[in-house]
Amino acid sequence: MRAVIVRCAAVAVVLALLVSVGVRRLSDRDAGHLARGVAAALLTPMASQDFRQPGGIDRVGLLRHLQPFLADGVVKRVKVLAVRGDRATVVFSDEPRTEGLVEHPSSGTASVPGDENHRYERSLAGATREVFFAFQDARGNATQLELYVPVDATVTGWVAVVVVAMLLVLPVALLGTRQARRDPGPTRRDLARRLHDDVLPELAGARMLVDNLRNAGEADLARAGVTRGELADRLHAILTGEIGQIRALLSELVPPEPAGDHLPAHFADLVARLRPDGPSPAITTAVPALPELPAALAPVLLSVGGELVRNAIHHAGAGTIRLVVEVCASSVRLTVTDDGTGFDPSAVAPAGHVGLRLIRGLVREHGGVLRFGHDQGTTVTVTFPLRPRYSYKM
Amino acid sequence: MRLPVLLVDDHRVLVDSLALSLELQPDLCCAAVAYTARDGLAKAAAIPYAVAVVDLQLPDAGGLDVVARLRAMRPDAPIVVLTAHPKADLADRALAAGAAAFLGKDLPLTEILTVIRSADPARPQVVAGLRQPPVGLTHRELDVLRELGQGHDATRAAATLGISLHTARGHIKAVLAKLGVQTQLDAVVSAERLGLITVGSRY
Repeated sequence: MRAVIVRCAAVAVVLALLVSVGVRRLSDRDAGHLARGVAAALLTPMASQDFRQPGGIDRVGLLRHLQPFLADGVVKRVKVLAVRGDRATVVFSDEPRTEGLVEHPSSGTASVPGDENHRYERSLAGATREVFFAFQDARGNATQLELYVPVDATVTGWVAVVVVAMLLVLPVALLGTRQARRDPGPTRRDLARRLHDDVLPELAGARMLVDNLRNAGEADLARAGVTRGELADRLHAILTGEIGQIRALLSELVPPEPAGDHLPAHFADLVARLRPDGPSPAITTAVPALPELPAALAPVLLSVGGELVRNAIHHAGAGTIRLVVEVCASSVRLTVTDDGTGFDPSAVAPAGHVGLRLIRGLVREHGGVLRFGHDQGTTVTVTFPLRPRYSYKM
Repeated sequence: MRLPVLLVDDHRVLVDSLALSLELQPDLCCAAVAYTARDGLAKAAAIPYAVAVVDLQLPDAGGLDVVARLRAMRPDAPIVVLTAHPKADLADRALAAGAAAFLGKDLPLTEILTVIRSADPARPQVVAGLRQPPVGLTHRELDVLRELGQGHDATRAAATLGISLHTARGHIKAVLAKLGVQTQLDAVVSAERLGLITVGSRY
């Protein structure tokens, strides 16, 4: 995790630098564009001056030309440089103190140097760029017009900050999605603990009861005040609990699958698995694909449907069994109908209907309703709300 | 005269089955069942019993502490440790704490009953087939390893075991070195493979 953050931070810094360079280029281009407009207006009066002669320039006239641009802040400073070789001497400026100072002749757009000869530009508000335009003065001497144009430096800063912030948030978001992806289902550690600490000792307890059933004499039973039937009941209860535990573990282990899309195929598989080897009742299904079905409901429908079909096959003596899944309004309904003898669902765990109690629990757990109907056979209907009104309830 | 047996185990299904099994024996009976260490010690003080059967994993205390305290309270009553974690180091520690026998919960009922009948600290009995660990870890190192196996970090392990963080880290380093692994996760995985610990469990 730490490595991810470090890597992201490094990427953020590099990207921020690249973005800053990009933004700088853009602002340079803007500065150049701006300066060209100003230069176009200034170069004509400039070119008619003789900058090499002390009295050769119309200072007042030039300042009048500059004034509107300076007043608007379109340019912050104007200098005219007389170029001789690699020396460029300021021969005119709206800041007279800079006249006589020497600079390096340049071209295009540049940052303002921090040297002593630019000391008067340091006090200019905001960030500026120098933009140079070469021209010949009235005597044909090489001359440069130097304009100091403001650039919006804050944009650069903000862009960099935003990029860095976004990239620092990225690993956190990444981790979040990764954890969300990892989240469904118990960890291997949970499974190991539950199997080892719950399921195995309970099975050991069940085995003790089997040993007792086999070994205890009538005198022992009478003395302890239990019957073999009671021992069998206890054993039955333990095994029922085990089935529930293991089924719960399994349904947690198989997270969102099977999704509603594959519901028809899953039910077909289920029925194929349940069909007994010998003479079998006719089993038909009508199951649509339900892409909108919440992932948690699909395995529940399969478990409940499977258990109901299993009951009908093994205990109802049915000739035909029909399983239907349908969506009506805001609920999904599973119906299993058989033409068998039926059974009394209110009886306490009648022999062979071990799964019924589990089904009730499972249905209740998911906010569903289980209904039994008897009319020439048995019809069991299970209805689950698709948008549970009490979804905040755990 | 039937031998009254005190059962201290929080695993209800198992302990209730064992209690019933005791009642069904002509020579044994269940003196009391306690689901917590506290209840077990209270019942031990109040109810006469001849043998105590104690689980190592109790909700409110370590079973080894319960063994030591029962031994101090009733030196004449042998103690049988019945655990879901039959590990060699735990057997050593249980016997050192005063247990007369150390059994796994998956043992057949008849064998458990035989040991209960014959429990004697002078002749300690340990479940057969306990593998001596191929790596010699100290008890403390195993304690720390079991904390890691429950997903706890060094800080939490130190707090649980009542040792300093520095000491816990030292133990972890020693465990990594002895197991020849680089990371704590590797240590837990290979310790489980070697049967030293049960991942996710206290023992």
